[in-house]
Amino acid sequence: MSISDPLSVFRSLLFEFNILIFGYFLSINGIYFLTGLFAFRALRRYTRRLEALEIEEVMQTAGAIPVTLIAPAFNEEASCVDATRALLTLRYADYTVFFVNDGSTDGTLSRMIEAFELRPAALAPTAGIPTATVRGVWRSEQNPNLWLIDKDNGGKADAQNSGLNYCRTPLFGAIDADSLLEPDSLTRVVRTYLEDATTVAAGGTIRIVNGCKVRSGQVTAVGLPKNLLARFQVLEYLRAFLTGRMGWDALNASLIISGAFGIFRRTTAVAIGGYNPKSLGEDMDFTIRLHKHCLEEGHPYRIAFVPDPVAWTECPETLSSLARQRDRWQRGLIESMWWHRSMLFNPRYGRIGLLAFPYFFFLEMLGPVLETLGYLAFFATLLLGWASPAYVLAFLAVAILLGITLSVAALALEELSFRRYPRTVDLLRLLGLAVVEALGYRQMTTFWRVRGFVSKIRGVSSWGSMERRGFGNHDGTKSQKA
Amino acid sequence: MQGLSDLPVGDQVFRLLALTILGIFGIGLAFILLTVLLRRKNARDTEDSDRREKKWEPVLLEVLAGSYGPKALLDLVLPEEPVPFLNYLALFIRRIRGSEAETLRAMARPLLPALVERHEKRAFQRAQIIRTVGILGMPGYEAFLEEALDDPSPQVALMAAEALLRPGYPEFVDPVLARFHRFERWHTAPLSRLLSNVGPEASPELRSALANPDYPTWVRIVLAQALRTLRDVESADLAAQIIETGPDRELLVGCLKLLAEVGEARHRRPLLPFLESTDFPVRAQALRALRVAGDGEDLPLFTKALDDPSPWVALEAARGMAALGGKHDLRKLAASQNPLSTLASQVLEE
Repeated sequence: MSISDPLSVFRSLLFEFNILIFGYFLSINGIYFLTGLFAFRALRRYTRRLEALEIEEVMQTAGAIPVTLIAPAFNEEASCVDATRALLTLRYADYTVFFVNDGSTDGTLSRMIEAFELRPAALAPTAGIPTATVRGVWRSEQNPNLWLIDKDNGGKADAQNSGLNYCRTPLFGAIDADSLLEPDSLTRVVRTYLEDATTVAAGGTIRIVNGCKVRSGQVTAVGLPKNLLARFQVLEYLRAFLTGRMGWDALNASLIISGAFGIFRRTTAVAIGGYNPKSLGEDMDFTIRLHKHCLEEGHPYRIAFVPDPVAWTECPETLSSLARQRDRWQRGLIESMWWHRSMLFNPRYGRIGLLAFPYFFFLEMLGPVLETLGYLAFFATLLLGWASPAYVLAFLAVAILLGITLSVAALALEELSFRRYPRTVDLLRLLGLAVVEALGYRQMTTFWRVRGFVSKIRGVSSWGSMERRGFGNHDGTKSQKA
Repeated sequence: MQGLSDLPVGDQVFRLLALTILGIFGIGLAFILLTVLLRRKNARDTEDSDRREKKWEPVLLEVLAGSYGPKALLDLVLPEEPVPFLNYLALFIRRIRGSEAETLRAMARPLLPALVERHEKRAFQRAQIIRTVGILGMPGYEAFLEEALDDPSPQVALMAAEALLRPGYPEFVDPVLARFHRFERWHTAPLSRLLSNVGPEASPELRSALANPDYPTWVRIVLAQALRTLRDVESADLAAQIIETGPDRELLVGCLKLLAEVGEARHRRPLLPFLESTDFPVRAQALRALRVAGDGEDLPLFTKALDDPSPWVALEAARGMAALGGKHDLRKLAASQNPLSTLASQVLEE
């Protein structure tokens, strides 16, 4: 082979690139497999510990650390009342709810005022994180633990900062106003703080509410959605939380506490200046900054994922909506990785800098690009007749089977631990989805994430919108757009 | 350079790939099988548990109503069922009180010896035993539980401590405090709650431990918190003495909080230097304590503290003004354009 022959050079490069992609493929699946193993061990241990505890007893005997739940909302008139009612029925002795109306242009404010008999109230801030102007503070006459902070629009992070500025409890919770917390979720997540005084952040599991029956702001029956896209997301969330988050937590290297449900220590959050309002992935950015702060200050600390407290959230059911969500998530990830790139392979940040950060940087952030290029290179190799069909089939089989195995492992973990899907037919459907997910859905999400990459390079910074149906419509029988 | 198509089918690489495929396929199948088997096992366990409850509950209710004797229920417990039965009773007892709870304990008693003789290797199983014995076996199993304070698992030890520190039984405070180092990772709230659960009978032991500088600072903080929960008036002098010895910041804050609960006029003087502390939690807690120990003559101190750069100190100052006769000034402040007007309104609304 002559080096001057362009075709040979191309062929050689393509071959090398295929090797690189194969390396990427092995690395990411190897890490998935390892985190899955750690998750398996950690979940087993965790669920056994739970068997020896009665959560009601924990509440009675251990005492409750006061918590403020901050629920930012922008144009959530369809679900704000139900979601707030659900928040007010949590089984926890000492908590306050701050509903932050982030300059909604729909009827969110009026619906809240009417539903909870809100009246103007005086509340002085306890911190001075800069935010958009607060127009007023309201308090419920029905339930004095409910406050509403009405402010100019500034985005989710800005709204969370407003709530943080008024927070007076040692712990605060960041939750999405369109999420439903299970009644004992707060007790379960705060238990982490009781058992380890160094905890600065703890997050629970997010599950998909589509397809579940919701009554009075509580999930009364768990089921699979009818919409295929939503079903795929059920599987995705199970895999992400039960294997991914649980595995990273077992390594004490959780790099993200989900914005939909996390409990944080107020003093540490204020010390790092609250959430970054410029970030699209404010939850990941916030978690990384917590790590950074504690490691730089030399404080012993723990950032924990707790698998049993559950927040139910609505997922997109249309391709366009899902595409926008994944595009935004990818942009958020890129921002967080780029802004904190000084942590990459930096021994000062321990296992975060040497393990978790490189994984998210190379395999999660760059992964979709590599994967897409890999598909292109693979097909080019195939079309040009430079690959044996037997090898092509073999590689494809490995890729698909690995994806299926990881999804099925997540289902096994679910069955081993929390068993939230009681109908056997739902379990079998999820097993079926695990098989077909690798044939199209995965490639679609990869494409949207690549699009997020391109959007980021083009400087797009919008959130995009998502159609909400409201929780009352998730009864598994009808699907209407609000 | 060799390309992909140059690799002959049947060579070592291809064989490796084929083996990998088979391996992954096998693992995938194993997970599917595991999922299905787990589902079947879980369903069977739930059915068994439901069946047992359906068998026991009606008879148990009759026993509690006095229609049947306990033997009627114990006869329904099969030889392999004592542990599930005891677990069931431990759950059921939470719904009832008084003599009914005693009836349940009496029913459990003959089955407990077999439970405490089990030597479980796993901590969660030992914890379950401790929990059941703590709920159903007291009094009577104190020695067993005291031994469990030295269990290799801190969770088991903590459960034993919870079971031993019952209201009105202070004799286990000292043995538990002697093992407190095992719970160092825990938050102070559950630990202080554990001690205060005993009630005022525990106060002498708690005070004596708080006065003992040999105990680690974090233990003394827990003790101060427990005495605060008990509103133990006699510990106020001790707290005032400790703050004068220049303790660690957290212990100082703990003692100031205790004084804010039970302080009296004689503790006013030792508090004053802390109003000038450079540490805002210390200033805030000192103001809180002064609100209890001070009087109207201290109003200028509170008024001055309103301008403190820390909003927490300003909040305590405003609360102190409201408590010590400064409401008129607060109302004037609330009606003004002063940046502190919201704070004043808030405290007036509290």
